[in-house]
Amino acid sequence: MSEVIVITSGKGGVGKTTASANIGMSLATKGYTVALLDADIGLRNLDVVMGLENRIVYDIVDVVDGNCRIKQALIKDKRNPNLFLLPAAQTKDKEAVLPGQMQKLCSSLKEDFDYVIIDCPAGIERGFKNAISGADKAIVITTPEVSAVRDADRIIGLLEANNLSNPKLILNRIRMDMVNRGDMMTLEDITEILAIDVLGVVPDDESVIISTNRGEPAVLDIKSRAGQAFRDISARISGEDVPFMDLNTKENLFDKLKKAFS
Amino acid sequence: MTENSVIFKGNRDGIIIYLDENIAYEDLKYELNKKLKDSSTFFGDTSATIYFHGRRLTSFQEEELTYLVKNNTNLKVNFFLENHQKYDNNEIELQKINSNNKIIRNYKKENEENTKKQEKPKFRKSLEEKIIDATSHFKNRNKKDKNIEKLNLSNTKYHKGSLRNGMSLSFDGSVVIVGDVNPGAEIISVGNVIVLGSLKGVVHAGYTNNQEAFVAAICFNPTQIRIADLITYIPKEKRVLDAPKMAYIENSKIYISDL
Repeated sequence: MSEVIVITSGKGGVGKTTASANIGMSLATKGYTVALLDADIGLRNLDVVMGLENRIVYDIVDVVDGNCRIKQALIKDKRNPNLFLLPAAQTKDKEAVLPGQMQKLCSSLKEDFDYVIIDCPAGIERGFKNAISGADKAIVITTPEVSAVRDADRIIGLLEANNLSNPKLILNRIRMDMVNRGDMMTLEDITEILAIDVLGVVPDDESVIISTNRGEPAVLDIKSRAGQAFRDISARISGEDVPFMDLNTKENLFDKLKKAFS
Repeated sequence: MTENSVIFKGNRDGIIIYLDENIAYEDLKYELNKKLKDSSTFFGDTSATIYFHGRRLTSFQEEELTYLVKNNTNLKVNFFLENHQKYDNNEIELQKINSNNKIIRNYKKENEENTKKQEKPKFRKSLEEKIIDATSHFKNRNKKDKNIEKLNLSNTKYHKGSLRNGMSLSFDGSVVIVGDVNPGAEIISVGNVIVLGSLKGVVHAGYTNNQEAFVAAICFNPTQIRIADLITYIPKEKRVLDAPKMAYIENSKIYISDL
């Protein structure tokens, strides 16, 4: 049973694209066939994060306009043969695609793939409406900041209004040292406001920035803690029951190792 | 359309085609075409020199009319003499025209030269030809050689300033960018692409199938290079920052070489 999952946040810069790339890659590593769909027309980034930028010939606008077949536009990942990317157009804008066309596109991708992951653009306008129109499920991603949580709340409301009830939450870029000092919102603070199920918590991790700049998703780095968090999230998406990783112990162990080496 | 807008006259030097200057060029073309077809047997298959007379023609128009004559008659056309000036007498003096520095084009000779040059690889050949043409153009600036005109008149768009992410420049000719082409920007050009800056975006030269097009840049680092119907990119490990390079097609492959 294949699924179309949209990853959205409302606010920009909280990690939608990074999460899409990592979840897509780790689901593909598990053996599922995955299509990543970049819905951020005009400000595409998923291709860069995946390191597939230089292979783009056709894009999503070419597909919906009928300039090419879907298979021609899909770029096979260089590391994993189960993973494909349908890039957004860069020289067009969000108006180039209609929600109806997106719906059609998603349903035809659904026939060939176990998971279709849609990377939603920031905002609540046309791009957002396009991205959610073909989705069966939604993942809302936020960071422990008041502004991001506010936007996430707004997005959850909009998703429910569009029959995407029960979205799941990913809390990204949490720093346990700050939480313990009382300087950062805790997971409990956030779930109290948003009142949705938590899919995972991803610690703030330098390795994500490094891997993103290299075009290698962090899940491929076994040592990366954020990568581990995304692997757990993917396992939960595919129906496995994985316990939440204890960020505190890991942090302490990490610190201990750091001290041992320094 | 008047019946007498195109008149043929023969003299000892060749055939003079009088063109009415008061009617539209398209009508004139139509009329000439019609007359040529009607009188193709009249001309026979002798060799002859053709003069256009009575009307100022652009080099493109002249080429078009010459083509009409060649296609619609069995004439062995040796020389075409440009004649922009209006003569009152019917006689045309060859010497006078020559002294006016009008150009005599010898089609036969040109064809022979072309066949000789074809032994060289295609790209090199065209590049060398362009250079030769350009140098002879500077030497004989007063002369109007059509080959050179063609080269210089070939549409070129000069873009001052950088092309940023998401910007797209497409042009029915060659493109020269005085600035950078950032990642995410794209250039689609029917002719060549020259970037006087760093090229990091996607570039398509020779769209859709001009195999002789090339791409050159001061800092050659494009995300993807397309020439005619070929697509390639430079693998990460082979990337050299800040190197002036160019890309061109040879033997159906895109080659990249230092400038």
